Amino acid sequence: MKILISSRGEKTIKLLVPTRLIFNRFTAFIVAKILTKYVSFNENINISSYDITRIVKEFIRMKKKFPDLVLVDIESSDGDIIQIKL
Amino acid sequence: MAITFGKKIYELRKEKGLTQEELSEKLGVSPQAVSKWENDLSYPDVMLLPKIAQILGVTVDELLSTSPKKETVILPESQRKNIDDLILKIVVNSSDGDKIRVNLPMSLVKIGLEMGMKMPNISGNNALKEVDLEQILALVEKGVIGKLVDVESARGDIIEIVVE
Repeated sequence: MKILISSRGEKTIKLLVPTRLIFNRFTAFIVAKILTKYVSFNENINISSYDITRIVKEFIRMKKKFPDLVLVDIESSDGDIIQIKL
Repeated sequence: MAITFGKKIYELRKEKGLTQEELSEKLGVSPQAVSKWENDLSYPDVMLLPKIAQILGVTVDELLSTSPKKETVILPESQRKNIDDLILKIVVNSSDGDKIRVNLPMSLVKIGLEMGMKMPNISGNNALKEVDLEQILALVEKGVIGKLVDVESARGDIIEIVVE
């Protein structure tokens, strides 16, 4: 996963993070625990560790199918850019 | 509605996942030149067109064509792709000049819906509040792809949802 943060007149930050380091069963378990404990969702939203594991598996499958897929790309009117690539 | 040459270059560059700097480096021009092209303030030298087309993965014809690419089509069952291989693209061009692009694999959208998420949870934009993701998913399952939502709010924000 590549994260690019660029601000006009500032240094561009490029972060290269191994996708497996972020998306694995262990982080899925931790994220699910944090979400259920600290984040209050609308009552219609139920996020379990099973759901997070499904999302993790899907991200890994998408990484193989669409390497370099740009998940989020934000360009502000001030010239700031935030980009997250798979 | 016809799209401009600048917008075409912008969209193709984004599809390829290139920044203006990366594209300018490959073409041997300045990033400012690419920015001017994308904002329709100037045009590239005609000798650069084949190289631009090659880098952006299209023909020169396609590059110069101003007809919009994202039409809505209903695919016959034999031509339909697996829904898990489709991407939901949310494009928001705000009146303030902010440009937001979110590309979500349809499979993730399906999981999100099963978890009870709605559009505002995904995009955070109020103009998308009334967009029903479940209906979009139902359309896609019936073979409808392309531009499914095109909203221009009173404030001047332009929002598009495209499935490709």
